[in-house]
This record gives sequence, structure tokens and C-alpha cells, in this order.
Amino acid sequence: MNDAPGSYTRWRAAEAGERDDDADWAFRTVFQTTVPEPVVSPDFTARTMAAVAAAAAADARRARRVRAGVLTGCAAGAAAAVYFGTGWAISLASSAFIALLNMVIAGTVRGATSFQAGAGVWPVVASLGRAAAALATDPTVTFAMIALSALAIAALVALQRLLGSDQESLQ
Amino acid sequence: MIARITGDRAHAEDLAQDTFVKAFRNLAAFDTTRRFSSWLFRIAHNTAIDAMRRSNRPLESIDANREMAAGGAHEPAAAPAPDPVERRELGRALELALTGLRPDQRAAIVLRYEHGLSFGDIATVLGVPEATARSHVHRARKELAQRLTASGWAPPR
Repeated sequence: MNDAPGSYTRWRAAEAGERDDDADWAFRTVFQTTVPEPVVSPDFTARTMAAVAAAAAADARRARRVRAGVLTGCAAGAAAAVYFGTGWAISLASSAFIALLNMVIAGTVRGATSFQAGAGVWPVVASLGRAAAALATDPTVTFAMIALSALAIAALVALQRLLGSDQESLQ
Repeated sequence: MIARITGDRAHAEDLAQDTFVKAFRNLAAFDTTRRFSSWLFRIAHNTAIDAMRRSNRPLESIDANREMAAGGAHEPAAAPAPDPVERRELGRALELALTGLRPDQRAAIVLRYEHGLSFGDIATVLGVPEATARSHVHRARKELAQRLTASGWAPPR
């Protein structure tokens, strides 16, 4: 399209006549036929690809460092928890176990008593429920359940972060 | 686009490289419901503007105005003939006039007339409402016409 001068005339006329659409159209032709495109150096693509590759490698290194840091932190935390918390954990677990045992015994006794007294199925179920509720409201058991839930959530979050770092490295 | 906004072709390639690296690093943040080119242009535009701010370059070129007023003028070309030399001259005058515009107007002109973007896409790239993008293009074109007149490219009669 070799219409620059004609388009230039049309553009200026349209601009002077406040015909915006015409001016827009004519100026497009003027611009595209007269203004040369900036020259790009021949090695631009290669240099850009190298820069992107270098950035990707730097990102992967950073992700590996973060992952190593998280793993080291987790390992240190786990070691400290094992060292300082083993006794406490055993005590907590045994308390929970005893409480569970108490519940089973209480349930059995209540069930047997109810059957002996000739009660129906529902009073037996109700007495078992009461025994279970007594277990759940025991502060030791409640605390153990909360601690286990927190531990599981922390483990899931750590795992998700580690998998995320892996995916970033692959990208 | 970066070369046109900054007016520095050598530095523009480095900035274009930065643009691609930033795009690569933020690829996960790209909204796939939008146009990739607009997203890339937006990064390029922001990179160019940031670079100009960092180097304390004036966001409105004065040198270009001065050059046009002093040495850029030549014989008026009321009705340019279909001559390659004259077309080249007009192109150079237009390029020079372009460097005198404000960066946002310059970007709007380049996006509209060099890359063929719609006003909506220009608005996305510049981070402004569509009406503002339209106004940038309109005003920039008017200003280019004035600058061309001042440099000797008078409107044909």
C-alpha cells in the first residue's frame, strides 16, 4: 500500500474537519506506510531466550534453597519435638488410652445393667452415648484430639508447599 | 513499542528482554480469559515507564520539540507527491513529532497505529478507562498534526 501522501492529505483534512473516524483511518495508513519499524538486532531473540533460561535457572535454584530450608526446619522441629515431647506425648497417649478403656468398661457395665434390668434397646444405646460423651468431654482427650488435628494440618501444609516448590522447579 | 516510548533503541532491547523475563516469571498470574498480547504490552509499557522514571528522563520530551523547531523544519509540503524520499521524510518527521508527545499518548499512538489494538485493549495496556484511551489517541493525533505543521508539513489546501 503506497498511499501515504494521499492519506496524509485525507488525514489532515479529516483532522481539520473534526471527522474523528476518518482521521483515525487515514492516520493509520500514514503511520504504517511512512514510519519505519524499529530495527531489532539479529541476536535479540537468542539473547532474550538466554535471559529467560537464566531467570528460570535462578528461580529453580531459589526454589531448591527454599525447599532445603523448609526441610531442614521441619527436620529440626521434628527432632526437637521428639526430644522434648516424647514423655509428654506418651503420657498424653496413655491418658487417652485409659480414658478410652474407661469408656468401653463403663459402656459395657451400663449395657449389661440395662439388659439385666430388662430395659429396651434405646436406653442401652443412650447409656453408651453418655459414656462416649463423657470421654469426649474429658479435657485430656479433647486436648489430644486438638493436638493431633493441628499436627495433621501442619503436615498437610508442609507437604503442599514442598509439592508446590517441585512444580515451580519443573516449570 | 518500548523503543518508541523511551526513544532509546539500544536500551529498548534490554527493556524488552526484561519484559519477556517478567512475563515468564508471572505466567501463572496471567488471566487466560484476556488477550495475551495485551498482557504482554502492559508489562512492556510498565517496564518502559519504570525505566524512564529510574533514569530521571523527562516524561515529556523537550529535546524533540527543540529539534523540530530548530533544524527539523523544511520546505512546506502542502500536497506531498508519491515520492519515496518524501515519504521517508514524512516518516522521520512523524517519528520526531512522536518523541515530543507524553509517554502515555505516545504509547497510545503506537498501540493503535503500529500494533492495531482496539481502544479497549489500549485501555487495558495503559490501565485507564476506555474513554481515556480514546482521548489519549485523539489528543495525540491532534498534537502530532500541530507538530508536523510546525516542522513544515503544513496541511494541504
